Amino acid sequence: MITLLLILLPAVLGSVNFLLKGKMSNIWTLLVAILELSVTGFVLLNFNPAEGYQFVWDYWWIPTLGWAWSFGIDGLGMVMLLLTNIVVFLIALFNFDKNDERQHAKNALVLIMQAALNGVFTAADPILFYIFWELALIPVYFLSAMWGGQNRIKATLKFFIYTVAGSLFMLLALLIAINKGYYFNLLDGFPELMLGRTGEFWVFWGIFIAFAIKIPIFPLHSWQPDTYTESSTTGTMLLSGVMLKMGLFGLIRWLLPVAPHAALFYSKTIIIAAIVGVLYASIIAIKQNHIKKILAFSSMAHVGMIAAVFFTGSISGWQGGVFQMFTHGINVVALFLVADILMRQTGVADIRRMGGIASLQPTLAILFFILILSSVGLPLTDSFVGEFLMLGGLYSWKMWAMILAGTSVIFSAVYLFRLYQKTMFGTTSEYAVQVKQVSWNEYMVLGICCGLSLFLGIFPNALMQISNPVIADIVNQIQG
Amino acid sequence: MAGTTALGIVSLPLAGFLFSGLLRNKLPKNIIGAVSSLSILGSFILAGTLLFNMPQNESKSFIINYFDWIVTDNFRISFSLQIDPLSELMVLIITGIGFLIHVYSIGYMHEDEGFGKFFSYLNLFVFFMLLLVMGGNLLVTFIGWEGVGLCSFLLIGFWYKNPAYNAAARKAFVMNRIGDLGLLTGMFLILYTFGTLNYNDFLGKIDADTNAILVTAIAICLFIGAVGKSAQLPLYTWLPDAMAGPTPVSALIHAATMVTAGVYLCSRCHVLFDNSVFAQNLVTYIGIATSLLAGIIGLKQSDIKKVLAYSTVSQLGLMFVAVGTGAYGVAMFHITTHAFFKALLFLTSGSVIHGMQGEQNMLKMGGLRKLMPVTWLFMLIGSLAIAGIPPFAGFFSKDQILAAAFAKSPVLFGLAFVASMITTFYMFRLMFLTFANNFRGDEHTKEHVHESPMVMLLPLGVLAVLSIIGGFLSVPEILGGQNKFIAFISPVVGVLPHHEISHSIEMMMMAAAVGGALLFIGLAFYVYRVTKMVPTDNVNELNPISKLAYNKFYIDELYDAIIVKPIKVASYAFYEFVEKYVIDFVVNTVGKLALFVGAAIRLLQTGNVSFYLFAMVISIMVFLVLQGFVFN
Repeated sequence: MITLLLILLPAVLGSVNFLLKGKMSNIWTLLVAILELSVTGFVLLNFNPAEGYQFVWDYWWIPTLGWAWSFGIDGLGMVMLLLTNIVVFLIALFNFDKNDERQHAKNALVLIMQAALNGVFTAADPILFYIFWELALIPVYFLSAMWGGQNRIKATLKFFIYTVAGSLFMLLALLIAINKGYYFNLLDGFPELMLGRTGEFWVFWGIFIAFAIKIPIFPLHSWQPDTYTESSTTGTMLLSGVMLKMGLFGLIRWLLPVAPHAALFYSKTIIIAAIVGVLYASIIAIKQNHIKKILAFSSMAHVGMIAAVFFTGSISGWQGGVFQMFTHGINVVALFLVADILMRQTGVADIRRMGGIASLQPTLAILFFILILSSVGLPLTDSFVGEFLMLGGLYSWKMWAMILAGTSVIFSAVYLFRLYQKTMFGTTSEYAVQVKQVSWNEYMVLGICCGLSLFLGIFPNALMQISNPVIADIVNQIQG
Repeated sequence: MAGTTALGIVSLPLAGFLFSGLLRNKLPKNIIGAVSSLSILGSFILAGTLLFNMPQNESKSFIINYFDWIVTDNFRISFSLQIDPLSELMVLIITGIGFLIHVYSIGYMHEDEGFGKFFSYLNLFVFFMLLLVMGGNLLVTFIGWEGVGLCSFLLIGFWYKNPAYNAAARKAFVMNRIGDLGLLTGMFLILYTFGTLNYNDFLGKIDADTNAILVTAIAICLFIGAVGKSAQLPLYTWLPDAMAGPTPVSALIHAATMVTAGVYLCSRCHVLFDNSVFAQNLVTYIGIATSLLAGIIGLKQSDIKKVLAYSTVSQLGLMFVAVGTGAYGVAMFHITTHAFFKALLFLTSGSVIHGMQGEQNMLKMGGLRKLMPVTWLFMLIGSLAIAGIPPFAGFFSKDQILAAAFAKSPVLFGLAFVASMITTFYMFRLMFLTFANNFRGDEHTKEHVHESPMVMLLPLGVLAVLSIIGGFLSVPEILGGQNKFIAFISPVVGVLPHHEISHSIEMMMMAAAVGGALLFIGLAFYVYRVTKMVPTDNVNELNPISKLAYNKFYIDELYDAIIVKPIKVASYAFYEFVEKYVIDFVVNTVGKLALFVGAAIRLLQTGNVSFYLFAMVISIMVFLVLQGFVFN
């Protein structure tokens, strides 16, 4: 019941926004986000990591087709719910003092998006999952297309068509699996489908393409930089913070368990593609000057490593990967917030035109620095734990994979420190002079993200113990 | 008890960091400086009390596990600290010298607007450095390892308005990260072979029967990390650039402590090197080659700090020679004496720069002995110590390195001997150019040249005393001593290899080293004092070899051409060509294809009912035919 509440609450209460205006709508949205976060907290308090699906809601929908309303929360879903509902809370906090055109519609879309995402992470029925997966696309499309940069329509249309096309492959794959008489439901346990060699081939690639576009895995990434750059910051935060994690989540929840043999067979190809993407994005990021583009390519590099490690079959690698899904989500939201602040206040996006902001806004500079360090993967920040475990997972697969992916750790220091030094250090530019005091709610967002980063860097177990047991189960069953 | 003390040693600087970082703009400078310095002194005192409570068990070590840090189903890594003679020694060096440099900085940085920030960074550095040396497993060491790199980055770029300083800071961090990737690889080799990163656990499992290739691979990986951190070939070029930071930083981080971390790591993991002749040879060759190359470059530099920087690289090279010959105790001994005299040299150079209003070019100095007599005296002590003149500190440690080199091969001894003669020469070149003859700067500067305040001179005095007597910590047997220092740390780093050198040969070596040093001091005296030669700053007047050395053998330019430029070109090509004309082209073509097919099919939708009927009939016929012939 409470699982359903997690989905319905933001959808229903979020729609109320259409009746509200400006400031009122912001207050209402923040209250709903806090309420939703509290419900998530309540679930967490009553959650037992050692068990599988909990808080189950399971009713027939179309019995003749085998479809059911099956929701449940396991350790993996729990981590993703935490991520989603923290990120939405942060976005609501970020939007608290904004008053854009149609602000109430923006707020409503954010909360509807939250409902869809919570559905994605709790659905245990494949068709149900697919429906929420597609549902999530609609609010984020409008969030990206209605507010943002000048080329936003073109960029987001490309993103939209690209992901819808990918999703159709997934639908096809799911229908193939179901048509073969193997309708499955994760509440019944691990789906041991006997698809046969060709069957698994089609199912694997169909589902994979949908996820690979969303993550994105090289070379299916070309929608990403433009969309991240042109979308509204709210849209970019949802996309990079949570939505691309849908693809990663999909890999380990819906792809590898469904087509484990094909996954093993093609693992080498995919790991190579992912690592190529990691290096490709890292190298491109070195020479970019648009602040959001640097963050977009940096995000692609970081996420590519997570995708790679999920195909290695290393338990600790997976555990690090899931941990990193969370930490990257929080970190990237805060980084895009900083980018938004800088672009809004200086009026430029080119980092060569900024400079010397540290002496004007020392607190902002310190918070930004902690976020950069976290992104660089410095020990005692959370990303280090994730990166260490993932590189270890790649090592246990093939040593060269670890060394190649590990060079991204060097590159990230190059482009992120360049970004930091160009914006914060150096002499104060004419644009940078305009940077004013950052508002309290934005400081709060940055402070929470920095605090989480340091806390989880020192006590990663606080989060890892939630998902570790179920991940070990999944990996063992895939390999079993 | 020991657990609390160890935690206290690490926490005090962290508390100092938070204190001076948060209150940097609210409290007067002197309070910030005093609290920061006292937090380091507190750690030093705590470490001092430990000295009387050293573990007495067989391995002479305490390991304290505080909590589980990273727990997965494959392994579990705890947050643990280790107290043994080696970590104790390093803690004493770090906090002792660290304290002196903090006090000195109160005077040196007094006029700087970033005073509070500076002290918070310094405290943070000490915190990470202590984690590095006290870590009970490789991953805790790695926290410190990366953390000191971070502080180095912050302090090199301390004056952040200057883009050149920022570039130097980034270069240092990135080159360290290249080494760190090696270290990381080594950690995975260890973790996935032995299932643990605890020093005592995995080192205990390595012996002559362990897979030799594995041991060599691990040793080389750790050494790659050491090469980055300790500025050895080919990753040394960041250290001279790091001189952009304030001089106390150069003394603390880039001379006395952080850069010796590589030597420390190799000594702690010496079992790996003991069991791999290949790795030992590699370390030796890299060490001696670095020492010679840096020395030659140092001969031609005119920036006072750059000379000291190359000298540091060169001395670190000699430490690695000791590591490569298996004399880990000697390497650690040289770390200790080097910390004394190199910190002294850097701080006295800071005193000179302070007096010269920030001027670092020796060609514009001269005659400072009369103007800054105390600084001159202290720097002379440091120079005599590094030159290895008895009874100064450097004599004892350097002599033992030369002996270890001789035991390995006379050629190695010869090269190390040459390296140390080069050191002597450029150090006294520095001394005479700075302090002798007449002042070469402008009148305005000369009027303002002044001796440094007491708060700077007092720490210098302590370091000067240590540079004089520090060597007596470990007087070798041949001189009637008992090598007490090396005996203290030998439970961790192993006893010195036994070699068959007769006393007479050893005496001769010693005499040659001292005699050579005196000779080169004399030569420097003649060239720079008697003939009053001042090196030219005009590159065109130099002979080709000097020109090479002056331009640092164009190593930076070489790296730029073969690594940095290609990556930048690739970055450009990927983004402007691959991204736009390959990947996006394919994607858009697929999109257009869909549009095209849609447009083609749309033509069938004519709206003409008879056409639809016709199509239907044809389709049914085709279907029936297929049904009849093909499927049956």
